[in-house]
Amino acid sequence: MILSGWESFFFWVFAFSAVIAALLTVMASNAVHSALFLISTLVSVAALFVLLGAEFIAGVQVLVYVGGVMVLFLFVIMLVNVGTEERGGGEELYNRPAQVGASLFFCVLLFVGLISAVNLSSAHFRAQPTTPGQSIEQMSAEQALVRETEQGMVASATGTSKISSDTERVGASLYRYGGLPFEIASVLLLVAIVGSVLLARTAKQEAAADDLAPETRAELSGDEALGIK
Amino acid sequence: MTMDIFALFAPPNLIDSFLLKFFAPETMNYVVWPFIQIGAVATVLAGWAAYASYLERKISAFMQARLGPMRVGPWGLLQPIADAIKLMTKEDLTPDDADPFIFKYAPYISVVAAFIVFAVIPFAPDWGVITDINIGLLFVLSVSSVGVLALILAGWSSNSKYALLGGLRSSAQMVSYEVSMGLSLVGALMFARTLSLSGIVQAQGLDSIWYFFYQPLGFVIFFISGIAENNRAPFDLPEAESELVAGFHTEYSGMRWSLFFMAEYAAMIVVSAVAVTLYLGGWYFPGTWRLMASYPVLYVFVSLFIFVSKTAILLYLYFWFRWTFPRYRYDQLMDLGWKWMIPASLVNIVWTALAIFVVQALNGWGGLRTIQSLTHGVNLTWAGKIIMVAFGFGGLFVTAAVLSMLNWRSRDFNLKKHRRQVRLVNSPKGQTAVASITKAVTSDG
Amino acid sequence: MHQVEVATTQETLLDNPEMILNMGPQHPSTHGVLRIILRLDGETVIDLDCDIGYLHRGMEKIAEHRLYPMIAPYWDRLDYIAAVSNGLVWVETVEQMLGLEVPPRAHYIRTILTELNRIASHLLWLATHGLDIGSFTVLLWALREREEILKIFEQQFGARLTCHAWRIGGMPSDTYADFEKDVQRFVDNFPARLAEYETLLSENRIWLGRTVGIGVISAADAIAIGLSGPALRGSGVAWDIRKSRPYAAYADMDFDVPVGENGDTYDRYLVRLEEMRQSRRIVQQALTNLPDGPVNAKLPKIIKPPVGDYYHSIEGPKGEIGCYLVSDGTSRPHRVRVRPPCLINLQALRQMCIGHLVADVVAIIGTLDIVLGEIDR
Repeated sequence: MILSGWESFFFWVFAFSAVIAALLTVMASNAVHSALFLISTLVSVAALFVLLGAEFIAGVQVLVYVGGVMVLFLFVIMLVNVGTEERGGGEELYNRPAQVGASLFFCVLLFVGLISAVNLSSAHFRAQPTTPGQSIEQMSAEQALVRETEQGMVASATGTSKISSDTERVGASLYRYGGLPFEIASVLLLVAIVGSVLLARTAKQEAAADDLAPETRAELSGDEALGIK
Repeated sequence: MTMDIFALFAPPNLIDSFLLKFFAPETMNYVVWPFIQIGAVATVLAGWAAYASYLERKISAFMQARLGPMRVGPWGLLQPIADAIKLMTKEDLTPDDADPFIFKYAPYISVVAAFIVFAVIPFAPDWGVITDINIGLLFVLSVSSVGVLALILAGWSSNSKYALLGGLRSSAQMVSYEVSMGLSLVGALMFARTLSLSGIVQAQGLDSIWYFFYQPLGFVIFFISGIAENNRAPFDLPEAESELVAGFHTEYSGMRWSLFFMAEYAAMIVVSAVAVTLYLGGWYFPGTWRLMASYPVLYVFVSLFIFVSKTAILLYLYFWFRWTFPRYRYDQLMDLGWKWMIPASLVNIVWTALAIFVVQALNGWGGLRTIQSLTHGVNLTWAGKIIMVAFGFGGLFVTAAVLSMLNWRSRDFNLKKHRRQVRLVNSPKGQTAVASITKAVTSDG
Repeated sequence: MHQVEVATTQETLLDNPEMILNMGPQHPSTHGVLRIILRLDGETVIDLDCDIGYLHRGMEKIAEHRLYPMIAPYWDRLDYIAAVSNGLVWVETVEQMLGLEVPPRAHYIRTILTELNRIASHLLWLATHGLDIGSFTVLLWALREREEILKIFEQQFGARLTCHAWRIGGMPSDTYADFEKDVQRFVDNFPARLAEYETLLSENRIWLGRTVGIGVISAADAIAIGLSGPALRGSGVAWDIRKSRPYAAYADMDFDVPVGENGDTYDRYLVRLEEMRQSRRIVQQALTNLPDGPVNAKLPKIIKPPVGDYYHSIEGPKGEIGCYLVSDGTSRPHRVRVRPPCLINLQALRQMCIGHLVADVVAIIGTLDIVLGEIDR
């Protein structure tokens, strides 16, 4: 993909803000500040998704990560008082040489990974030139996806055309090809929710919830299993 | 500023040709015009939010047998301006133990999250919309979900127990109601088959029906969830003044405090505008399309007026609810969200899918034609529309049945049964009523 | 009073879910300067303690240094919402000590005005209780009716709130010219207005959800704590001093005592609404049978009650307001003690609140209908 004009300007703005905010996430001493910088990173990455023509992913990223996950993060951070490290405790954990070594090792890994990823993806793009005679029906779904993406990116992010219709494609691939994994994942999440509620909710809270009709409660009062008094 | 207002009231072609003398066409389309639109919309909406507060005060006053603001200007019309001046000149306090960085910036998050949504709201056809993106509705949902961060951060950074409780309440409340809000939209999307807000309006125009008639339940759920999402009465728990003093903005003062209020009013306008777009036909009104060919500029203005009027009616509902209902308790609010709103929106999805399936199956059965076309959303013939509307309103009863099955033993379902009458005791003149006391004591043990 | 145990070290909210929340004395819905220390688990109240005394003015002590007629205005400042009732308990106590025969017209006018005061007090209760539970409109509607009553007070006594309504042995003056017309107009308009409030609240699901089953206190507990007034009658005890030991002209009146069933907030709400209707009934009867004649008894120049202890109480809007007086035969009382209904009703707060949520604490304070002026004195 080739960026030009305003697109490249916005790309560099959001790329830099993503990197700087990510750095600040790990460098901030206050956990709530860290969470805020993580939110900035996520939003910047969402903006990069928009530049890539994947607005659906961008929207879902903001909705799920910023609006959902990060809110819960903050919820936990607020409840768990994380003041001890800030006040200078835990210095015995610092080990300079090990820290430097681990950081260097991580950088090397990251570098190698990035290079190979870029090489692989560019090879992927080169390997599948669309032959003029080939109609869309004859292409595999993946090829069609690549081609549509390339076409869709021609005038992205500046609003002249409907950018792309990737929402439909995400929906189709999620429910048509990935239906079973999708359902399995949702059942897994449901189990997690039910389990956590069961673990976290005490009989006292159940009784305090006060959401049963009084006569029903009287009827169930002997029932130990419900834990209702 | 003057240019923005000029842009609203003059034919755009004129400005276009004028501006083209200074800018290249590309810069014109991608930079200059959007900025003009953004400036115009932000200015007008900030004014609207300020005057919504004036209207709320006036309307509540008329409901409560008083006059409301009367001193500043005729009928108190300049009151919002006076308030703004007062708030801007007030001292901006930061509590000693507050986190100064977050405390200062939380109000901005809230205002920005509320105002950014207007970028995708189609106020009118043609140049009446800033940008029409393919994921418009998702954008609205995701950006308004960022607004909760402002509340939770404000609550935490104030370093006050009341503010913290308010922040926790608000985050739990908004996260829960976002679910039912998002799910309630799915029904309307099944008809429109696009996430673009302009596309949804156009789909309703092509089908010549408001989706409210297909989706009465969806509209009700969306609007109730919207009220809860905006933290407005009867769901105004995060700022419940009788319990939590002022909830998350207890420690705020001056302009930062008013930014929260501005965001609240802007968010109310957002929810109303999205409800209008999705369920009440956006800028369409029967008969106005005749203007389209001959007077395009007038058509845009008339559409704008229609959109604003519809939004204003929903805003009035907001005010009406606020000044009529008592406040829910926190756990009751959660019950309402999780036990009533979310099941209802799920039933709505299944029922709508069933309705579309039935209408499609009926097409061509016994010479009945229900479907006109499926290119831009679901376009139905008159027969199809009647079936669909019957399904829509029948869905209300189905949902009521499902919800009562789910909740028939819960406290809120049986509340009306607890309505009691007082017993009247009339002992003869001058005699003591002590006898009944001993009775009460002995019966209680 | 019961002392709240403060958790020793509060590491985090997760380690120790208990939190101490200080409600008041400048919290908007503790009805004045009441301070409540709440121990919370999440938002559930585990324990609470009331801290009172922020409005203490030493009235009972002041009374020891004043002549008998001079004390009456102080009594208006006890429960300033029901100044007319408070004034009545003082003058009636002194009258009984002196053995004065107050003319019947004065008795009837006292009955009318104290009942109007009861309605005004209950209206203010309804207004603030509605506000506590989040219904703002009922506040202004109720204040609109109260305004009508306060206008009558202003015409009659020259003051709206602290009226200094009565003199020992009768009244400062006879009624003003249009008194009967004004009262009659209020009596005629009132039932329709009350029905309006009922449409706003009584059947409302949210209101029911906020009041039914909240702050329950059984009849036996209510009697044991010493509750009085609507708080007691809401629990099902038909105790009303107007019936059991009639004062003023109540012996001649025909009225019912409303009684609740469960002793929850909703019952107390219904009882107070019905009490307003009954008060209106009493006012109407007293107005129809208002006798002619003087409004003052003959008094000695200096009031010196005979030596002895006296106790007299009346049914104030909040409950039994009584006055215990020790006279040493001089022109100043030796010792005065008020039986404050709000203070005694407030004792029930802890028992009513435990296990409920913070939001319910506010509703329960509202339903107890306290006035800090009388609690702290």
